[in-house]
Amino acid sequence: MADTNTNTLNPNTWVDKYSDKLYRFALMRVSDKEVAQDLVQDSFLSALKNAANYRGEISELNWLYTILKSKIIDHYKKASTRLSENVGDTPLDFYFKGGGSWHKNTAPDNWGVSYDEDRVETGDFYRVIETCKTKLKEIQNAVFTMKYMDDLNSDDICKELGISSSNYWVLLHRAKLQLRECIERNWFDKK
Amino acid sequence: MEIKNPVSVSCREATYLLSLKEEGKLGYYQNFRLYTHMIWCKMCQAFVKQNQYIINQANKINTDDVLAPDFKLQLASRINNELNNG
Repeated sequence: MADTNTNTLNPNTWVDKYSDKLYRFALMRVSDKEVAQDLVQDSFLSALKNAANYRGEISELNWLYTILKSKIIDHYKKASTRLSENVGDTPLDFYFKGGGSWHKNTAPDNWGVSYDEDRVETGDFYRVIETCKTKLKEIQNAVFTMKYMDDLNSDDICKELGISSSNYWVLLHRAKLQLRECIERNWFDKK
Repeated sequence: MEIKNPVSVSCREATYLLSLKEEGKLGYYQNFRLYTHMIWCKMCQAFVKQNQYIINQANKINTDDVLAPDFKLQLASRINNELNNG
């Protein structure tokens, strides 16, 4: 079976063929151009070091994605240790009154869109989402992205990031509240 | 001090529990208290729909950013060096 693996590595062509793809993948997950750029570079260099371990079972590009993903996780982990002490930074009383009901001015408003419709918004709307995501704490963004864009479950995300499950649910709660409020304020209120 | 309603959760609790519910991590009692809240609370219903909308849209984002040409040149030559010295 091993003989049928025809994938080989051609590191000389990596930058031309794959660097932009990998960069965009990273950029959607870390929201910082310089960090994304460094992650791509680190991935290529670590791929070179580990080239001997490549057995051609997956395509060169998929192999590079695997390496990049683990670099992104490492980056998130650093963010989670840096920020573990202030997980609860966004005060919940920004959104809720003492009794736990919504404040009038930060409660979900009517967006005037049909939520179930699979429509494509304008480029400006996507930029608002991206900007609001970058305003999340990096660890909140990590949790949100891994859950809803990478489709991982909470147990795996906790394991990958080395955070407790109670921290995880708090982070996800805050990320959703903040992202929604930011998007409403910067997009729907202005329409 | 907030008094816990035995029948229903607050909006604050509801927005927290909704994420747990997605993964089936709520017990019977919490599920019930969340349910009784969600059937009447229009704002928390909007919260759910809007989050789903954000997630759907966020998954459509496809940035067209590219790496700076200078950075690519540097990277290519670095790879080349590694290959020749490795």
